[in-house]
Amino acid sequence: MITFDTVGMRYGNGDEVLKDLNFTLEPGSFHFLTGASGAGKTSLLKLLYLSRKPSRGTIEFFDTNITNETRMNMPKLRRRIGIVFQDFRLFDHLTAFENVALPMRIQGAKEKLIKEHVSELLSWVGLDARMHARPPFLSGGEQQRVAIARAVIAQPDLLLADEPTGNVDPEMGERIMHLFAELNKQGTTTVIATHDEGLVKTIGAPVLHLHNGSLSLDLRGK
Amino acid sequence: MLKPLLNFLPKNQKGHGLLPWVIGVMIYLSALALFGGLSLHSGLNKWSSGLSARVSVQITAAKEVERREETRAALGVLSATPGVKNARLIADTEVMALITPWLGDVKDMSGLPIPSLIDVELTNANSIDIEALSVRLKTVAPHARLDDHQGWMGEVLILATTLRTIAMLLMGMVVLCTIAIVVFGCRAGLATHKDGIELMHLMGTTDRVIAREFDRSYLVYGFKGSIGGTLLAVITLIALSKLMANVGEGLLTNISPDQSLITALIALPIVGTLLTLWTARLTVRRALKALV
Repeated sequence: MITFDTVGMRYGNGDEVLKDLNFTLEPGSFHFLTGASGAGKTSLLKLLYLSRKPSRGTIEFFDTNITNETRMNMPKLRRRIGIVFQDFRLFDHLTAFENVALPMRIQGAKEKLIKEHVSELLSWVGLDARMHARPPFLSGGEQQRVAIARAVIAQPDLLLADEPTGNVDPEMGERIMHLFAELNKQGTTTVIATHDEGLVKTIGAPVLHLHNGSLSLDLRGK
Repeated sequence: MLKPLLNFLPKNQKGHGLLPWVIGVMIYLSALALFGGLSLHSGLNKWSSGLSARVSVQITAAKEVERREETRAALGVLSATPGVKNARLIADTEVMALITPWLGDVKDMSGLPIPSLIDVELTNANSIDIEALSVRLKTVAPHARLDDHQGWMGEVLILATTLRTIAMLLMGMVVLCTIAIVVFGCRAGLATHKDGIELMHLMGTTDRVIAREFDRSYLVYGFKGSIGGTLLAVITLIALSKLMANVGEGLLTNISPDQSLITALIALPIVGTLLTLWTARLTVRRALKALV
């Protein structure tokens, strides 16, 4: 379970970009995160993927209060999170296979298992013929699928995706959302930041809506 | 066994190709400083230790008859003195050879009051009381002058110590420069790969694992540079030694690579590699702590 209690966040001495956030993400829940540009979506995602700590308030993350957590304990918590970045953030010198394999290697999985799982997942997202290509030689859509595969390969407890279907065709977008839904069914808490109203309506999940740093919960999809 | 790397750092890091070269130059300079310091120091030591167990006696009487009598008497006193291993009267021809460089090849030296010279070999440097011997010599040979070379050896000792200190200072500066270069290189590397490092952190990689990737890179840079610099230094030193050997007798023949220099040259690439590795390790770990 992830709980935000009166969380505020600011960069340096600037104004608060997130104000008094109070919400709980139950294990296995599925939420969309929406809001206009500058509403604070990226900042909220940064808090969720433990890139930053709140300026005030407390965040309970899988029974751990991360507000006072030491740096040393953060890697263990971060391994429970899968992130799809809007700009993909792939390593250009590594192949699609090696990029996707990274989370499993970080967790110390056996090479045989890594080969098996990564190949299967890359085939599933339609990249079986491109798994040894490096990101500069992949299209935007292919890179996005590699980024998604990397985020889900280690079956995270929390999946965060920032515009995950932004660069793929509708059919692939549907496949990706299906993948997310499958993971969610297996207990992965999922938060997807999107501008795509159509996607929100199709899936019909509750929406965390940010407006000027404040959050409201829209249960229209439920 | 080495743990497998995650390879999130590209193999050919931009700008880092120069690092082994710079480390190589530093190691090369260190080797030359070591050679200069150790060889000259040991050469001067060899030279002065050759003299420390020797004294010389000059009989400067103007009249030849008087000089011969005082010389014989002085040899008698020296031979009877405990601690004197051998007292040898330097032949006139040898004395002439010694003064020829200053006076030229003079055919007739009969008019010149050339002193008699006695070379005295002691059992060891502290085997006799120089003051007492000097007094005893004066009683039988009033024109005798005992020279234990202490003044000259004192100067040599100061020179040797100064040379060694300069060599050590030079080595210290080279080590500091190497550390500074590696620190700058590491910081540049960290800045270049900041996004990648952040991503690795967000995927749950520990500082230790990230630092290990840098360790391996810098171990290779340090090793390449150290081996290259040492090899070049060895070639230079061999050439220098040959040139010195060609110069002939004198101080330079004493300045040659000895065991301590050879040991230092073997240790140099190891020290260079480890210095690079440890500097990189400390710099990277310290910088990582400041990140997310």
